[in-house]
Amino acid sequence: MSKADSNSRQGSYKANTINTQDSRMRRHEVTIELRKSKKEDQMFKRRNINDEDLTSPLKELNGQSPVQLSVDEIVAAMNSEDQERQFIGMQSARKMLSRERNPPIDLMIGHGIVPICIRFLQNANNTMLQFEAAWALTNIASGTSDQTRCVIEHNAVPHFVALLQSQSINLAEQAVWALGNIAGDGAAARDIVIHHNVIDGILPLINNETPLSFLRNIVWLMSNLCRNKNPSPPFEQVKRLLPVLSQLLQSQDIQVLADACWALSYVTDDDNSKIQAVVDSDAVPRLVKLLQMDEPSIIVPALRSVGNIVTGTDQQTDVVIASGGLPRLGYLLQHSKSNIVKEAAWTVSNITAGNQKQIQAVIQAGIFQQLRNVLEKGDFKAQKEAAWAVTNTTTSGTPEQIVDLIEKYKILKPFIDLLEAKDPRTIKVVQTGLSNLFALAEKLGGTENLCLMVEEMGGLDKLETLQQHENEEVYKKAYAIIDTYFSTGEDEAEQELAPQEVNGALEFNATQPKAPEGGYTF
Amino acid sequence: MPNDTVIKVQEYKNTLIQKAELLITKRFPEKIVSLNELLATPMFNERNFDEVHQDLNIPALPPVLVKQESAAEDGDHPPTKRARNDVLITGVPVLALPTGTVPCNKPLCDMIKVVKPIIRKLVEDSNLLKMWISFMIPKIEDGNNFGVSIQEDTLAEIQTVESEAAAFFDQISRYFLSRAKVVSKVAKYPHIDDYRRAVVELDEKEYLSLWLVVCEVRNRYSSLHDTVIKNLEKLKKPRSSNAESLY
Repeated sequence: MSKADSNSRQGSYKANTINTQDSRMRRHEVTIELRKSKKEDQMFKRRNINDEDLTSPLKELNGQSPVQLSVDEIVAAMNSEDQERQFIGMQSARKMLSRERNPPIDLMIGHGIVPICIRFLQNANNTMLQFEAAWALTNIASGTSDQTRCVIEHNAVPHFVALLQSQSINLAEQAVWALGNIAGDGAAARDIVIHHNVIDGILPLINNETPLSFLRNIVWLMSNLCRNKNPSPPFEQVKRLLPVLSQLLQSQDIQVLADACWALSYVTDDDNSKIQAVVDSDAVPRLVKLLQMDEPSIIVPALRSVGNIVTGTDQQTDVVIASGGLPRLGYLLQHSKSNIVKEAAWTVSNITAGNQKQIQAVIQAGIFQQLRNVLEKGDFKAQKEAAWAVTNTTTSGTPEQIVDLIEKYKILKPFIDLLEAKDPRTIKVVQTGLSNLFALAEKLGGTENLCLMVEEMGGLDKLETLQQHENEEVYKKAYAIIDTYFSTGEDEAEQELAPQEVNGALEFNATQPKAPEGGYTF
Repeated sequence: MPNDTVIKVQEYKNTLIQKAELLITKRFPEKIVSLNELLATPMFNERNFDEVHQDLNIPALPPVLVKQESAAEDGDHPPTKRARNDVLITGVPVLALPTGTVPCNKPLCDMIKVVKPIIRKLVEDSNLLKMWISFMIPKIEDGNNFGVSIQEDTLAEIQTVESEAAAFFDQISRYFLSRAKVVSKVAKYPHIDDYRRAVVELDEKEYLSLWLVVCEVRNRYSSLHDTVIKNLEKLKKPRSSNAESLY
């Protein structure tokens, strides 16, 4: 039987023959088709190879041009009449200026790039060109003062301020960035930027829809507008930023929060009227709240701002206390970063320099417990501030408050231990505090007891050592305290105690003073 | 020793023939039934495409948000000036993903675990059957070859089944490779949504293919079984003896 016959006969026997044969045929055809389409793909691939390279996102856009233009070629291209050549030149310049290592800023300036860029900034028909120019100028202005000044002198500032209103968000953001660099150069450059109405330009840019990277740049610019002294920025202008900055304290973004706090810290680092403006913008409760965040980059500027505010009037300090600042400060006195502990102690010291009501608030918030720990174990800078906090209390506090310091909070020993500090300023603070304590003791008739306590805690020994200190105020004060309170009235004892003056310096006499008897009740 | 070898080969042939006949008569029907049951399980039956979606564990970066080269650390003030050094579109260096590994698609992996042994069994079975038919083919003569052609056709069909089954296997490894390629693109360009969508589509396609594979395997078993059983006599004895036809 021939194959053909058998096939047809099989057709009548096997129901499946057709299927298998057909499917085999189909498979065959499909394979051929696949091979055909693959071949076509190959051909298309070869034909379109240039297009693909340009549009493929898989290729880096950097290093795309086959040949790097030299600076001369760049300048020539930028000077040409053809917009496309201008763009290519400008973009090449931008790329050179935005590389990480040693961008050739002076080289570019030397080739006269800056005025050309500023010209391009004004080409409203070509947003991409404006953007590249703005980027290049940003990086030039990010360098030395001379380089920034070059950008200013070619009158870039008004054009950048104009670009703040551009429809293109990228362009507006780049303008903000450039102005940030210019304003950051110093007080003079900052004031130039302000006088060109930059604040009018940026205030409308901030709303709920502002993209995050844009917002971050704007807040950073604002911080530079508030920054630097000698002179401070014109306050009628800076004042206008305060409501926005206060609002931004409610942002969720860490960089925005940090820069806003820094801006406020610059503003509050000034006289009380500036502090009042910040207080009026309702910033204080938000600043205090930020002290709780587990983010040192935010705590530091917020704390600085709060610390500045309590250097103001009693009312301004009261606002901080009313916002719950004291418990926060208590926590911060235990922070792991010594810098933060120091600033917290500094802030507390300015509060205890206030009135007795405020001191009472400090006591009630349990701050003196924390201060005691700082006195004992803190970093030396923090210790100094804590000592100030105690001494200020002895100056302004009620007798009950001061007595509490000693009896309840046991501040005396760690306080006295600081007489051994290396920094003479710390020693003087402690000595002042001690003098105040003794003055109070005298009034209350408890001098003997205090002397006993001080001596028991080793304070007398330290004071005696201090009479040899190289710092004049220190040794004079040490002598004064010993002389006034530790001599028992016997002339001989006094004579023995009084250091001899030899060649203008005081000499220590090695006799022990007679310790007064009595209990330690105060 | 040649006798020994010959005997061994004969033994092998006999065992194979026995196995094959047992296979085709008993095991194939069992297999068909079990595959039908498998297809009725929730894993394969009416399963929603959504169930094979799986999160990639690659976070999308906020758009073109370059971390400001901040000298601004905890104690430090914000920088007075900053240069802009970023590239407009940047790929993310992929070597270390902070969120951990990108897992395989779990539902699909479970399915593959079920399907792979099935495919393998088909390959083995069809291989066995192939040899069985080959052994049944008588010596070549120039007549009475109807049965032989039946055998040859059957043989061809079994051969096809075997190659297709092997192709199913290959499909699985290719799926993983394709998915890896697309996932690497997602990792490198996490802000391009189309790459992420491509992964989803790939997974859905694979889900469909796996289901199809099981169906096809069952179909192959059925058709092979059907073919062989219907032609069992001719397959085992393709040539009627001359004596029989005479009487």
